[in-house]
Amino acid sequence: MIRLLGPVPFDTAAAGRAARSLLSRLATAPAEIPVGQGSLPGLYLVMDDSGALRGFWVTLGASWLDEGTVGGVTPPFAKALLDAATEELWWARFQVAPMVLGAWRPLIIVEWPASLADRSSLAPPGVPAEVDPAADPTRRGPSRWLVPDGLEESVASEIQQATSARWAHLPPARSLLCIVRGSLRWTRAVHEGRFELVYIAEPEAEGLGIGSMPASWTRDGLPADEWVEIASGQATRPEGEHQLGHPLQLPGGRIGFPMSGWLSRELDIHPSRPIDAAVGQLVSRDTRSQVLAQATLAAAVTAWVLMGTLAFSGGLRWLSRPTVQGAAPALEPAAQPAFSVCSADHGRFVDQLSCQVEYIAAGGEPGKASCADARHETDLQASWCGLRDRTLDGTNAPSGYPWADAAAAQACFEVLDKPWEYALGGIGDTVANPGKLLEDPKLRVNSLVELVASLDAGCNAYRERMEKLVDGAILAAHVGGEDGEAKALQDQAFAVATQGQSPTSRLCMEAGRSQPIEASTELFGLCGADSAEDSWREVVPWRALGGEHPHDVPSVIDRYVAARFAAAPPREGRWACHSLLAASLGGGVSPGVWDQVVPAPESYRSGGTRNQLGLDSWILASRTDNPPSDVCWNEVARMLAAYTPAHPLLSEPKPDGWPSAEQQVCGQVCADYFHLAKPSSASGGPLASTATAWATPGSDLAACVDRSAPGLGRAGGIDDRFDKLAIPWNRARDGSWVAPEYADVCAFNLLAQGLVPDVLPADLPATSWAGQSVPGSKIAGGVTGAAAQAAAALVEYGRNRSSATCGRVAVQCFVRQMLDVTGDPSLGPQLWPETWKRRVDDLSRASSDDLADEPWCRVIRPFLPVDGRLPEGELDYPCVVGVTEARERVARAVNRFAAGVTEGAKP
Amino acid sequence: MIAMLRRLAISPRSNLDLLAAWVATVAVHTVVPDEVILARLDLVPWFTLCMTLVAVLRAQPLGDPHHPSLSVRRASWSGLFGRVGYALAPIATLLVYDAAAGRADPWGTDLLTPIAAAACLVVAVLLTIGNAQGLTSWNPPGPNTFVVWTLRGLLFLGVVVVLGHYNTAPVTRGPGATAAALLGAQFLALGLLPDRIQSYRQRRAAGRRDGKMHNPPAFRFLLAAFGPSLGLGLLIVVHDALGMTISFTQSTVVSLHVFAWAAVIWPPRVPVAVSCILHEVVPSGGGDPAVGGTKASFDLPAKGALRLDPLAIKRVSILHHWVVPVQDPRIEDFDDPVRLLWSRPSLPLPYHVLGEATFEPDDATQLPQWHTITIRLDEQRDVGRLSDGNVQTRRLAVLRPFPTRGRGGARTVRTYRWDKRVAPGALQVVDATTQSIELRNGDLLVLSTEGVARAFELEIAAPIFASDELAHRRGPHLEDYVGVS
Repeated sequence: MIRLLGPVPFDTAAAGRAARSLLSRLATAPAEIPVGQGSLPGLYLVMDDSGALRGFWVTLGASWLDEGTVGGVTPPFAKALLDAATEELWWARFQVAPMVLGAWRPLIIVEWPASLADRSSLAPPGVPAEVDPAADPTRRGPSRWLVPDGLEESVASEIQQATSARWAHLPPARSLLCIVRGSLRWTRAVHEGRFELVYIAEPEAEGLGIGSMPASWTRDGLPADEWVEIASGQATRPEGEHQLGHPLQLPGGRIGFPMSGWLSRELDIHPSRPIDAAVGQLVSRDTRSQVLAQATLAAAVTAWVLMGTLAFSGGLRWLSRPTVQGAAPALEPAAQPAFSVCSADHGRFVDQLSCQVEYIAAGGEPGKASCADARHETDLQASWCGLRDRTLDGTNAPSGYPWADAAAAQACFEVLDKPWEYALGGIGDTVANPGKLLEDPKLRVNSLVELVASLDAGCNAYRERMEKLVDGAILAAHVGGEDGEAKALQDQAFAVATQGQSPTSRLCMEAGRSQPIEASTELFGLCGADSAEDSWREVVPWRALGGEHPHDVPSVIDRYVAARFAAAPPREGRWACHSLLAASLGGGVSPGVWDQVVPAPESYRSGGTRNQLGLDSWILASRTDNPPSDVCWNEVARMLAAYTPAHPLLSEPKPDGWPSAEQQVCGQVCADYFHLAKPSSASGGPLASTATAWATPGSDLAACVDRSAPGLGRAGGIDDRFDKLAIPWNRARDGSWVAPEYADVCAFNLLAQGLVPDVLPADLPATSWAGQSVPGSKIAGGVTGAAAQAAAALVEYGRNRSSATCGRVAVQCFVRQMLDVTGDPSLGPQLWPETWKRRVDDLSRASSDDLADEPWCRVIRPFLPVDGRLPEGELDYPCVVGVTEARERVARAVNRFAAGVTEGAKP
Repeated sequence: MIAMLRRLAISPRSNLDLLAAWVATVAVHTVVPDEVILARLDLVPWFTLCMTLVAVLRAQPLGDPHHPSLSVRRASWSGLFGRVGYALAPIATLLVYDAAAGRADPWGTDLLTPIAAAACLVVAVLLTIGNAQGLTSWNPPGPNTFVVWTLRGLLFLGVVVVLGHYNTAPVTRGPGATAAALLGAQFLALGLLPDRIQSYRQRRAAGRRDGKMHNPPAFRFLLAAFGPSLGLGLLIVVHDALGMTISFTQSTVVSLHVFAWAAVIWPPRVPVAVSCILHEVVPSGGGDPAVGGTKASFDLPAKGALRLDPLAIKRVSILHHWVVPVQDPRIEDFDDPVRLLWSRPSLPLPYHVLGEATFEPDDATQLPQWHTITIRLDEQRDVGRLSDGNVQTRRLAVLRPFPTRGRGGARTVRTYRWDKRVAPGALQVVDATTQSIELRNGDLLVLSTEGVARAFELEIAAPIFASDELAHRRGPHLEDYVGVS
């Protein structure tokens, strides 16, 4: 059962204020609000039995005619009342009804009491007047000009009468009602509200009816509880023409008719048609808690600031990125002057480049150097060239580019503050991409490209100088010496090595030969000034890479080698040899042919082979199918590729011949040394078609001759040692060993090898005469040989002094004298016979002591004729004969040699 | 999405003061030399400067203000001193912080500790002088003001000293955790200094409308203390993660953060009403130029005389004050449920359609606004109408000099065929079907009744924040404007 609380004064211009006042009283002192019937003008609250608020009830009074609304499209007071309810109701936590789908559906009922309603343009049906039977039915009232006389009034009157008759039993005070239904939805975030006019039509009205109802309701009108429920739920907006609905029972026993609109102050129905009534909207209200609202705002602000700043930073970064696609082809930039490579601060770039070169030359990698405060002071030309020439060794920087390119690119990259476009690995990488800086057609730095090209050209020029300098030093260290025959040998080697080379190369090889390798501290003047070098003094980039040269700075070659081979020391080639010699890590010997060995110098100052025999033996060995391997001697062989060995002097030794090949070679040395043989084109020997001269005859002879007593010398014969020439017997009268002269040894071995033909007895082979040091060794000169046996026999008393014995000894003596003659460069060949004869005659006149150094002649001296007279004694006669015959054979040989040499033919 | 964009657009507009302050700091940032203390890399002096600006612009009590039923004392000079005290408070905080960290003062001496103490003393003196501003007469019993302030001051300074003591990082680095915490402390200080213990006592004595006890708004204090700190910390962490270490170069980001949080902690106040001025204007046109030295022919349309051009008007020396209330989408009792000491005085009732004007909340954002006045004509009051035997010719039209493009599908209109068409939205005519009209700054209202017309140019002026200012205002009446009784 609904009940009304109120009234409170209601001002049509301040409906909201009245509602707030009433709601405030309901919240604070509900008992003080009187219970009304709605018959008095004012504002009421509609409550139900449970105490829930159902809406507002407004009963209008006479002031409506002055202060009422004039029309509009929304029902009057609804907005103001619901706004008041919005602000007051929810806070006070009133109990409200009904709740439909989470929304409160209050009713605002505006009642025009009968005093106003009856005067309106849509008045409620009145109580039918009693019909006066005496009245004249033909009597008409004053007609109106638009209505045919008598027609309108009669029809309207009939309708009115019918309606009036239907509700004649209802109380005569009949109000008009405007029912507005609101819908207020409140959530934790927002409050929304709307309101609309609703209408309770006749039960039989199509579409608007309320269906079947009890007969009492049909007759007496809907009870208040029922129509309130209907208005809150089922009732809809009216359509069609304005009309009155089913009568409604009001509190206090009154009756009211719902309208399809509302009345204006002129009591006209509004709006023009029911369909024109608009749905009113309340202003949505923010109902979030203050904490939630502020926290949401804080989170949003923080997120926006973060996103804004990050987007701003990211946007700037994105906008500042250079666009490499879709752009017009970039013009080829003019080459920058060298003073502004990568930076206007040229000094900074040079410092950076120097730091990078120095760091990488010491074994570092690009991008790892700390060059912030680097200052360029030292000369880095050689280091740059070392980096450049790492490519020759097959090594490149991790980026795949040459080390020097990587160093230059890294320097430029650092000076440019590491722009990510030039980074090898993209953004964040600290290693430069040489391809971008030096090759990319759009991004490359042309001045840097030119700088690198200029420095590379400088390195190419100086690399030849450095290589030739080292070559010269290596060759000088291995071949020859500074004086005598060694110098001649060295001269000859350099002549061969520099054959066909440029003047600069010759100059540098000579410099390497004549000056210490560590003497040069800068590239300028490395091989001495020449015209080709002057041009590099004027190249600015090359000059800029130079620096100071304190006295303790490593040599330019050392800096070059350190830079080039920082990671991997060279294993072969000139730089490997240089590294050994510079570090004094050389030494040892290297084998040549004929069991010859050549020394490998320990350092540049140690010295190598000083005789041509050793050089030739190694050169020949290097040209065999199984050459020996020595880092430095290989380089010597490379430099002396055009060299033709002088040895063997006469002919290739016969491996199967007599004696051994080494002794054959040495025999040729003796023959040539003592002018018994001379290489000629006709001989077919190795020297026949070459200009290479025999530069070291004395040294070679010394190398070939072993002057020690048998068993004490080096002549082993069956091992891999060089078989020198030796003599088996050369003792004094007391049996002690007399060191033989080269002529003694050579005479014995020339006879043993048959190089002095037709002087030994015909029945005595040379091999038997000479004997072997060790049986089967093929080393000539054994103590068991016929010569040695004969000499020993002549010394000892009672031994056999036959003609053969003496002749075997005399041959050695006479040939030895012959070699003295032929070996004397002051004697021409034409003088050899006479001189030899005189020397032999002098032997007969000499005492035994005079011939102490010539044991072979000493033992036959008693058997030499003195002034044409034979020695006395029959016992000595056979020996004299043997000596004389030997003398005659040697004399003929002397004549032949003299004639042969004079004619230039081989004897 | 539209609502979000509108919110984004409205937020800077309602915080123009902070936005201008940020732009100023951006400009200053570019000219600050490196050796100046403002350029210190930990950015503490820099955001202290920003906090000083915030203090001048926005500092308000974080606690509840005085009881709304009471009138406050307005003392201009006292308020000025108080505001200066607020502005110096962040600087004093910085000095205490640096002194606790053992740093030298900007002049290189060891006098930072006494300087910091002196700064705190100056702030206390200024706040004491500024206490008269905003004073109310009701002083119910409760916590003693001096005791509470002493405890607050000691606790706050203790926190700052601890922060400074544990700030071992050199100033050559970007801001760290202690710097971020100091920012929160400064926000908290600016919220505590204007706070009155008297207001708390008043609210505690009054109680809430629902009979419960008053609870201090702890959330606002917590938000002020930790919100900016965590936000700055997050900013530092994100920048570090992206490799963009915060230094003085990024100081504009930090200042933006400070001003944004100032807008959060102290959102722009919503006025209860806005003072508007209606300037009475007359057309400035009407002088038809002569054509060829002679008057124009009668068949040629006259120019300027038949239409009121909103761009061709001139003001007369008559103006009217018009107070338009601002409707706040928030329900006041939700935010401040204090029990009123007495009923609010009733406002005089308006008796004209202009009296129904309000600044309604923005449709899309549901945020309060005070740039567009909405007049709802639900009850058709003061609208010309024709009824049986009674003709009322009351008309209201609104001319807009610069209409907003793209609003609705209104068609162009014109008065005469030879007239130029009026752009859509440039003319609003109130008739029986009109539900609402909107007024903006510069709009022209034409009110006419019974053949007498007046035109008024609307100027939306200063907002009114105190509700008691509206208590005794009389609502507008039509006769005020047209002089017809």
